[in-house]
Amino acid sequence: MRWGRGAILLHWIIAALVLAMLGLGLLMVHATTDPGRRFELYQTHKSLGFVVLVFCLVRVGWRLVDSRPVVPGSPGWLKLAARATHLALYAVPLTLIATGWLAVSASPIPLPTVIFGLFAVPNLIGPDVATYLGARSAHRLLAWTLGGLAFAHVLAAFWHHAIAGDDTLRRMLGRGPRGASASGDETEQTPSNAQPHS
Amino acid sequence: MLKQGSPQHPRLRVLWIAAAWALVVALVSPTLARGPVPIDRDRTQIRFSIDAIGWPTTRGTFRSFSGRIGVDIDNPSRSDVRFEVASNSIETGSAALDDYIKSAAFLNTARFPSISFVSTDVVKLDDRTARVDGDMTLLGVTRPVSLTVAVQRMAGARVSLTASGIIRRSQFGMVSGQPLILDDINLTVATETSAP
Repeated sequence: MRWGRGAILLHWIIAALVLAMLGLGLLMVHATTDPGRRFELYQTHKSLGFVVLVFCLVRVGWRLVDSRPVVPGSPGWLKLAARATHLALYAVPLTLIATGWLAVSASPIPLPTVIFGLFAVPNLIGPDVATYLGARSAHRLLAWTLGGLAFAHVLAAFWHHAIAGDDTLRRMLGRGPRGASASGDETEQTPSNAQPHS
Repeated sequence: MLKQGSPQHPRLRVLWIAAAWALVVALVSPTLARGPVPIDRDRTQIRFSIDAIGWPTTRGTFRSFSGRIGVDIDNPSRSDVRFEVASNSIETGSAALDDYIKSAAFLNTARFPSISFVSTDVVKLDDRTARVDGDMTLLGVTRPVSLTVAVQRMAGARVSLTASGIIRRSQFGMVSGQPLILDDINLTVATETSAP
């Protein structure tokens, strides 16, 4: 049993966008010394940030109405870790985007965010240096946190695939039957195809 | 216009007029040399740089300008410098950044198309340095500005002049981005002119 096609599609779109945004963030802050180029990358980062926001909100909405699959069983502490990571993988990107939007809004530099040059998004608050600096620090911290979470998530997927020997990763590639187990607590049921592990 | 049937070929006529002008210029140039002459745009650069916290130094140039410059090395106070710069000719290497600097937040080029400088006094500091005091008009606000000029004599009775100084943008009402974007703009104008 697996996630629905919509959920899987959203997962991979958001995964690609998040990776692109983390890479872009690193590139523009740490590897771009030309101020003009850096200015342009910041504008792209801001535009793309709002695209990610839309996809994340759609994903959360989808998650609330769509059925969840039963996932393969894991040892007790791993269940907890997987639950916490998954919850964080919803919460951290949203908070990350919120701090980005807040930083852009509170920045003393009056630069409107115009999504790909098409339309402007409003500022959440007016210019305030302390808020800007705080939001920027939080944004950086959350970006690294998301990078760490994504890394843990990928490691876990490979753990399922290579060590636990279950089909968690394959199912996220859209293979396997579609499950309709909305009611089950994912950590309490052990599907028949899950492999025992130590 | 020459008469119809003139023996002069049109190309020859142009040459003749050019030669006549060259003679006139040669004859009066000793007088002109002490007065202001138009700046040599091909040998003039107007550069600026500005720093911001957590951001690499932003450098740029202004491509379009005009001006006159009169250098009197022996009598510096009789020197005269004036520049008029098209504010929308700014170039930083990024069209997006240029557009932003041209916006109302900074240069507001739609409303203030020119930035000008007119010298009020020139003082010789030493054999290779002078100070040019003048009035700069930016965003429609005129404030006194002082530039230090490195003077270097070159071959062919020419002089290289490199004027540099700091423009405090807040004095002209350009306060956008403070305190992240610093107040001081480093301005450098490099030019060449003929020595008297």
